[in-house]
Amino acid sequence: MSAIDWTVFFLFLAYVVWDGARRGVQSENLEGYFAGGRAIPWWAAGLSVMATQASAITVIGTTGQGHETGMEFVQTYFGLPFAMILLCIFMVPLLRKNPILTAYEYLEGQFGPATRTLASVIFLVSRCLAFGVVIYAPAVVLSAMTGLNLTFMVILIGLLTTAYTMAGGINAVVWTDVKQMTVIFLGLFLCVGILLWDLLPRMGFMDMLRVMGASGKLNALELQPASWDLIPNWKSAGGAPQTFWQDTYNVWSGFFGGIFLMLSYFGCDQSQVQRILTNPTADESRKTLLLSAFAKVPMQVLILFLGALLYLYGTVMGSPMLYNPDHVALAQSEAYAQRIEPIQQRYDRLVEERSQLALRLAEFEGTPRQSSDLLARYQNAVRGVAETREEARRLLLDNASENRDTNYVFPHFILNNLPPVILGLLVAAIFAAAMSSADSALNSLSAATIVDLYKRWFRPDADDAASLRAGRLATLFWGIAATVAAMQFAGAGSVVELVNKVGSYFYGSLLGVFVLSLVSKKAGPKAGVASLLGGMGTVFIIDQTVQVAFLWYNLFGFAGSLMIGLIVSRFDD
Amino acid sequence: MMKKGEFNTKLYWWVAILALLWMVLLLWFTEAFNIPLGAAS
Repeated sequence: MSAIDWTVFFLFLAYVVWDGARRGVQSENLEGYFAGGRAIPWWAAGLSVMATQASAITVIGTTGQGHETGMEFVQTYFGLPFAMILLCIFMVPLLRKNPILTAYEYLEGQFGPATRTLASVIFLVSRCLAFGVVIYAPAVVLSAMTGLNLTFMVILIGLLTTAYTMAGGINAVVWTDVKQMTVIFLGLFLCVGILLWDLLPRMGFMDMLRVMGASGKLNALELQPASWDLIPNWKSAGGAPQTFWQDTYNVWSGFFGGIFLMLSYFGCDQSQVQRILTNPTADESRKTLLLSAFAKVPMQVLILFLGALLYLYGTVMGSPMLYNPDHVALAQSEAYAQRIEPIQQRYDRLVEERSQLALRLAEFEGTPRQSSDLLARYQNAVRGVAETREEARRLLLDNASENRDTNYVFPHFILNNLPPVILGLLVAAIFAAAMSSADSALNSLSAATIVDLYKRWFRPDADDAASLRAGRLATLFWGIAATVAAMQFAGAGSVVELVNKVGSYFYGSLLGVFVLSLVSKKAGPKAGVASLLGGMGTVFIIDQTVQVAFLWYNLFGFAGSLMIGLIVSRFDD
Repeated sequence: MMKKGEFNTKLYWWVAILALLWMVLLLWFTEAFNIPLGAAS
């Protein structure tokens, strides 16, 4: 990065921190600190909802996924608009009936303090672990991009985010999210524009779509799952054919599995619910949610299409065998240089062949299917390139299948192809995506700690000044805890996966207990606790016994939680 | 008559229709352009 890029990057960071910190004066009590005085307009809260969901890994990992496996990931979001409609109709009235500050505060009204506290603690545990990943995962990539030390990068993200969130509370979170989301959109559109600008002199737009399609990258909607077999495989049945429940990316799992994930995430996770508690009225809260319902699917299409365009760009212009700078350094080391050389030569030949065949396919009059020989040769070259990349990674790494370089594809393009200033802006956009997810996690963790634990159990009589002080201290505590956790993750890649898995244990249960309150007025304290524990137990049993894709855990957790809650509600007085 | 700023429940229908249109568009897009690897050989 040049001096001007560093200047753009640091100017953006300085602006965000200043803008967030100055909002501190708007927070005179907990209502201001955690709910923005219920005065935040729907469009700002709506953009904040989107910025919170769009973590840095969404930006760099999803583009990488578009490059590697095509657009299939977009199907995960098909349930989102419908989940938002259901939340607007059923959840918003519940959450906005009384001036609550956390989603779990609502639960106390029907189920008593134990359920509220348990739900809040479940949120704190799962969100705290995930928060470490929100900082760690982008820090790894940003450190590779900028050459700055990984620990320094973790501390930079953790420290800056904690500083402005601690000072400004939810006002800082929402208004910095608005700016961060703007920079993320700007960066994404600029990249699509630059890619098209470079590719259009070589082939028309329709030809690009044909070549990307011939590479299998435009697989945006799959009606047929891998199998319609609804009997799941036992965990021990290793080599058995896939069942319906194991195929993650098809329209059915995306719609039905996705709807439960989104209902849980937007309706029961305090880091999102807090947005809809900041609006002046319930109707404004509905508009906040509907902004994502309108914009999220097109946004994911844009990000994944950018990934597919990156693949086309690499096909036409040439692409490296290894994207991760650490892997490149390892390949150049004495231990591997000689052994990697023949693989590299084969890879270069295949890349050249793929490029020539792609250009011929683009020039072909008619669709690729009409030229079956050329298409077959092109697809063979595409497969050959992918297999050679895999072979190189297997040579270098013990755990090549886990240690993929998907997250480095987009950064590689940014670093090597963008002009000055825009490069700085894009690095700032990735940093912004990391901060915009981390700040929401931080403020919501602090809200749950203070409102559901400190004020509920330890200092119910604390005045505004003492509560606000405690809120800021809780923010500082969680900021430090997550930064330290993120530093511990360094060198332990599998921890990240584990943390993501742990999150999906809880979500269905939280949704289950909220829905229980809607469907059964009889359910009381026993049913509330049993519902939460039962839902988690259901997911645990399923995880231990049968092979099911993660997306379905939310549905099973929800079903288990609701059923057990309804059964136990018979024993409530 | 709706007042300015009042919430219009027709928005739900618009969200649902647009979401379905996106799915139809993406289905057409996939059918029109995508050729899974190995389909030609």
